[in-house]
Amino acid sequence: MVSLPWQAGLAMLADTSAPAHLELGGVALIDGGVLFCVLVALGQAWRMVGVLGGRPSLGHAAFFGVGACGTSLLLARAGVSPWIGLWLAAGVAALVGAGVGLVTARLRAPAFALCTLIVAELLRNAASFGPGPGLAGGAEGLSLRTAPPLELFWLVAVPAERAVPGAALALAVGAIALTRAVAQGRLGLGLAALADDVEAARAVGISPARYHGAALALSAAVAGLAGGLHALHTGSATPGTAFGLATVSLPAALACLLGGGTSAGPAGPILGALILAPLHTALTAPRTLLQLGLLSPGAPALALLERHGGSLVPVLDGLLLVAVVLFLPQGLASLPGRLRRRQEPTAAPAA
Amino acid sequence: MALLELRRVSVFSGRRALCSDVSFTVERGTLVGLTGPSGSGHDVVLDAISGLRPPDRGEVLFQGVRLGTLSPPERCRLGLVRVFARGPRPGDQARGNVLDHAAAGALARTADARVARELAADPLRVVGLLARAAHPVAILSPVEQRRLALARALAARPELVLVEEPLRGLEPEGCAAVSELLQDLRRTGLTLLVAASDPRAALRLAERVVVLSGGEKVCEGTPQQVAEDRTVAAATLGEGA
Repeated sequence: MVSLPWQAGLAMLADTSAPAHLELGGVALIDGGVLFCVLVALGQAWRMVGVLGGRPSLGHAAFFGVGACGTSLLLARAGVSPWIGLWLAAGVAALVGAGVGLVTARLRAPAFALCTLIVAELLRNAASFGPGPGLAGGAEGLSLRTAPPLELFWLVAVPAERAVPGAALALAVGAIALTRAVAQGRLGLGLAALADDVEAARAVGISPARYHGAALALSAAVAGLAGGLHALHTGSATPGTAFGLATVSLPAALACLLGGGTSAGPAGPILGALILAPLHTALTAPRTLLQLGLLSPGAPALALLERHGGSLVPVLDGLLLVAVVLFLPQGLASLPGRLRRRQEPTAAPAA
Repeated sequence: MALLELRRVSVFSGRRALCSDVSFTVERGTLVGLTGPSGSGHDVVLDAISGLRPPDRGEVLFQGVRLGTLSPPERCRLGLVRVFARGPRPGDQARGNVLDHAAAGALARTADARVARELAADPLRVVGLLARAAHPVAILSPVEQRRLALARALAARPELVLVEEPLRGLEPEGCAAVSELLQDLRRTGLTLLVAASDPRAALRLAERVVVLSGGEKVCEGTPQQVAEDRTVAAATLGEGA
């Protein structure tokens, strides 16, 4: 049921007869599907740092924002094709990540979380108010719909409205594969040792700067690509949103923690995104519920959601995060095991 | 030339000396004990040697090279590794299996995770944990955790291993097993500097013992010489007397 959006998205991608944007219901489903893919990629990026490195980040919006604003800036101001601009912006995000990783290499988890939060906030302010008037569109950001060279939206003759969801899906799959490779490879061995005991790891030759720096650079590149694709799909990049704590950093952490907690495997962020993407889509675009037949047109709930849904998202995310940290430290993936364990004493009373 | 040489090493915390003018040498292929009542500064001396907290005054020479302010990972590349008293944390925090934990020590020698895991197999065999290679670290007993920590250090193929409190908190059988392992390692040609606040542990393990008290060296010699030394008795029993 919840996997419907991206399945529909795939079907729309394959269907070349009707322009997708004419079918409003399909568009809403594709929006949900892209959001799901972006959340999976963000969650995997977060897992690389927060789970493998053992230090939760509260600032993945910094990298997401660099990707989103970088891609749109290159497109709108320099006419660079987003299919090249994406990679350039992700490269810049990776450099920012490597820099943050090197500077924060010796910090423990709480200080690291604060530092990443501050970096994202600094970048948010710099992007909103920093560059000369109009360069980055100020606090309003840039609209990618008005970007002049429309033919640059084409990639091997796939129109952008299909290519972007396809790329988002590819990114999600790529992020899963990359994080898996990192976890099993050299980086994963070193990060696990550092997460376990920094001093003991350093004493056998593992340099925190190198390992945390590399992990953050890779993670930032993935988050940057996610940001760029999200901006391309929504058609705008606003610094306040793309660099936002409540809009990006929290969902990134939540996608991973909700699914798999502090020891999330590759499935963690997928499970988290499966819950977050429909939830966010339902709240920010309640018309989707209408199109899915879950709400009738005149329902009072619809009017309520349309008026307050968007502002409920950060509140719900925050509450979910608190609930997960307090009650489900190992995420939803641990729920079946916990329930089974709770039932065991009744099944075998005098074992 | 001694493998390790400390020349008048002093470490300060503010104006207070945590250890002052400590000098001793460790010859290649020996097992040297470093002891003294807790708070006497042997952990500080280990920090100074391993680079966690380089000395404020004096010098540490390893294979004749001044270590200066080299970081612990840089010292590891020269062949100097340290094993901490604390094992992997119990419960959920300890992650991964035994093989991966040991393989982290081999990362300094190879860029390939698969090679690192292969390099870790031999140290695991030496410490007697090869059969548990696939087990999670969290289920190891305290003795096995000491063995694993040593295996990780060996995977870095060190010249000198600094071992902190190897017997602390172990049952008598565990003490015997770990002592025997340390002796075995010395017999393979490894050099070890073992710090223990319990003087009996140091005297039993080492062929030469350095005794610290109040951050200063009070005695150095064979276990027998140290056991007969009156200043040592005063220093180690002095806390209560």
